[in-house]
Amino acid sequence: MSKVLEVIDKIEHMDRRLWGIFVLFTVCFPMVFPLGLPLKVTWETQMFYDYVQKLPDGANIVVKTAAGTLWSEHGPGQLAVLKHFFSKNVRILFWGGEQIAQFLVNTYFPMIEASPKYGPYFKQKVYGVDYLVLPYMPGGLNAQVAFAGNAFQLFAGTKDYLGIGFVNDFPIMQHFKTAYDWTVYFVNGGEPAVTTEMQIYTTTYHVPFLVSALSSNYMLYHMYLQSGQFVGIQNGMRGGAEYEKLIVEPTSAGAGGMDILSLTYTFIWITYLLFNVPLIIRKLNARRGVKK
Amino acid sequence: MSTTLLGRKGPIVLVFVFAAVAFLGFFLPEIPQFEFTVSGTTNIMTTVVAFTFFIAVINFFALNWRRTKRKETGEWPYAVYSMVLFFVYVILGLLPGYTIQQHPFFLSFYNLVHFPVAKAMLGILAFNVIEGGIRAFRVRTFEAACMVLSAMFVLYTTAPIGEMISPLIPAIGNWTVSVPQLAGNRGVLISFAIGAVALTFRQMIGMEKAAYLGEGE
Repeated sequence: MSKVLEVIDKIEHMDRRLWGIFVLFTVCFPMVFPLGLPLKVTWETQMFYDYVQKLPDGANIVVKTAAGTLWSEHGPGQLAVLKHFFSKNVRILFWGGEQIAQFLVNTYFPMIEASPKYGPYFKQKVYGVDYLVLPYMPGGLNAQVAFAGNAFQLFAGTKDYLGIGFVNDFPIMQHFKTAYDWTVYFVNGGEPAVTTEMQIYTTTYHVPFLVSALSSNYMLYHMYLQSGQFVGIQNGMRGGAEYEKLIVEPTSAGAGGMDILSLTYTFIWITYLLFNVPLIIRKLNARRGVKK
Repeated sequence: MSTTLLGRKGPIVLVFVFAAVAFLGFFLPEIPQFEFTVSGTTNIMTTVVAFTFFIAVINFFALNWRRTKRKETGEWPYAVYSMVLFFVYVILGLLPGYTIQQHPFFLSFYNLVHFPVAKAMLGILAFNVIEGGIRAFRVRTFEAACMVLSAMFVLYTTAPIGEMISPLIPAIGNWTVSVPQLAGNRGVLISFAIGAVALTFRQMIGMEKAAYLGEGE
């Protein structure tokens, strides 16, 4: 028994670079040999999907998505939601925060256009009438408050992201004068931005929120889902894979990522069990010794 | 008298007026006068923030130029590198013949350099997080045991393999998320919000001067 404990101790204190190799293996293995584990849609994602599915014709959606470093976590999910939005008869206004406008135009739109199922819907949409990408607006939260209060005033004399025309001249802007006109707000990202935005848009203007959350924030957002401020949450990469399943368009980034998640978490489970067992055994032995 | 007004009472009065306007506009958006005032103040703020970008650029160059001039050991090559990159990126973004930020060079720079590098950084972080988690999660106390068990169930609730092993795993994980986790989170947030309200009122009425008058530092 003591020899087994010694071996476990040795594994625990081995070179940390070996840990990296193990993790790399758990990440790469499913890429070569996909496990194809069945994925069950959770009620939060189903709620999200149903809400979008039931959006009335002519609904006004404001979208604020995130990009860059965390794309692998919430990219597949937001792409799936955008595909779903474009398949509906709704108006979509993309709020220009950070680098997202660039990301949308150069990454998401071509991907949606190339989709066999959702590409034809996207091609039918007219820029400036059905959707519009707003330019970057500095000021963070203040700019968002101004956007909700009076979008025309904020974007006076400003051109859209593509530089096609002045924002206020596009017909779609007639439907987005204040946040009272918004049907729903789709946001993607993490804390503290989402909660603060919810305080502005939901508390003041009663705009429901659809959130594609990072897994680390997902638990916090449950609170707002219970209170009715959020009407749907996607749980990070898993939420994205579930949404892909719902819109019947799985990708290697979303559904494929589930195998990696399963294997990596299994590795973590094994290490938690393996390294805690010696600790517990030694504690029990020590207790027995005290009793003796 | 004027020095006192500008140096001490002026900022307090300004803070009170702007905070009151934002406060009323937030809670009474139906009143058009307040809505207009809020839009006005937030637009001022947006303009102020836009100006801070100029200050940031000046500061960036001042700092890196100083490092380069002094040839600070181990730092000046990076200072030169960042200044050159800054210029290259700005020039690429403003190249003629295309709308702003739409030149193929600019897009390639973002898609082929910035984006993969940013993702690689996060990938490196993942290794450290996993290794750190494995080393840190030890059942030394009862509280630690609760934490390890919750982490294990919640992790497997997220991964499809959890449902395959046993339907009980996601059930326990979901309960952990929806009941004890939420109760704790709500408690923290409510106490935090009460503290924030108290601090805001103190700032509004000039009792908390350290933030903008430097008192108590």
